[in-house]
Amino acid sequence: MTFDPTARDLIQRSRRALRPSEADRRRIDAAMVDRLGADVLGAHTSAVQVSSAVAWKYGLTFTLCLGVLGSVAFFAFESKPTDTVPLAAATTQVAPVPEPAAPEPAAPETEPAPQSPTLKPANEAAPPASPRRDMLAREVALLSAATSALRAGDVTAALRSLEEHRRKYPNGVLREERRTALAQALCSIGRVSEGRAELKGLPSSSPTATRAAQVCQAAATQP
Amino acid sequence: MNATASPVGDDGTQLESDRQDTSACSSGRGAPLTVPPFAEVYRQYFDFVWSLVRRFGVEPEAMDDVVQEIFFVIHAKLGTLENPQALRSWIYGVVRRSVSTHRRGRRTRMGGGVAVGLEGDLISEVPTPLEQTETNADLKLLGLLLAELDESKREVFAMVELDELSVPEVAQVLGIPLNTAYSRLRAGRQAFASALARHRARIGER
Repeated sequence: MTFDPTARDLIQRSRRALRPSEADRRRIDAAMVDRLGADVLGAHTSAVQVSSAVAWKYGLTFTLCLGVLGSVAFFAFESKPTDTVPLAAATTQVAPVPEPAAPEPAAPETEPAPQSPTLKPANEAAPPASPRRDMLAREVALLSAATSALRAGDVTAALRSLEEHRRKYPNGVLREERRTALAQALCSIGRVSEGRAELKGLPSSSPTATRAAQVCQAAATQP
Repeated sequence: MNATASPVGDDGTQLESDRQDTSACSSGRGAPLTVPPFAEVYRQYFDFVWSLVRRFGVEPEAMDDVVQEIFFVIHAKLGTLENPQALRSWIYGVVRRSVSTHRRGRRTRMGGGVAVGLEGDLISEVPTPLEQTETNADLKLLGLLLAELDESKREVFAMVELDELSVPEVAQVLGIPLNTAYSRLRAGRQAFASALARHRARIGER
């Protein structure tokens, strides 16, 4: 059938109206890089984002150096206490700068409270982070580290990341993914009964659970 | 579901959606044989995800958060996708669920709310940035016209015409037979064109 041309025009204009602007894209790009690391967008990462991320890291390094110099100056000359304030702020910011998949050393033992505004440096291109989004980003980072390690055959590293995820986010959004990855890791090193225990109660329709069950099945049948 | 059925309507006519199945929406219509890396998915589907979130009526101040969360989920779960050819409809499902979760949370926080539109309740009456732009007139008219369609027709029509899913993808997402999806699309187009004609008659446009 032929669609009415006037209706088609309206649809086309509406489609265009719904699309993101370049500013929308850059803002989200920057936020993704900020949350998941500079590598997350691969070659797509624009020069703006790269320069933003690089500038961010160099800025922190520079601030840290300034802070160190400042502290040296403080102890050497006992200058005004206000000179040390940026140092304290800078070191607070430097500590959680992670590699994309690395856990944050400053993360709490349990699911985190709303993020301190000093935990990350302000990013003018990105909107203020919501605590829930930040937590999800950290969950993603841990799970990504675990699955990457699994794919690389480094079960020890995978188990370490999964244990950290379990400890920090026992009821996290990605807990099912954690359990299936854990099952797969355990079964791959012969701990089949433990692996199968992890799979209990998970939806059988889950593709990951199915895959993990296959790994456990294969491990169970090996001599 | 017969995913390979020919896109021919009940009356035997070749549907325009046949053309769309192969040309519409440059983002992601590649049917990859393997699951692409996240960066590629992000690049290919950014416009798709953003447009969906907007069409689903997410309030402007929440757009960035919702879009980011969707890509976080995609990033985390992409490796679980076993059928790469279903990537697009899988992403569509992620967006729908994420927006639904967001709206439930928002209603809880705001003590309820009324919405009408494209996906049953997916066009919000809450002002959006669209209403602050020239294009708002088009989108407002679009919402009014869609509100005149039956739910089943509107859903398929909007998914094909606005979200630029192919009819087989729509059938997959909705879990309906392919021919049913084509029938609803055809009926939705007719109803939409009729609603537009009535609107033009009302405002005296020739």
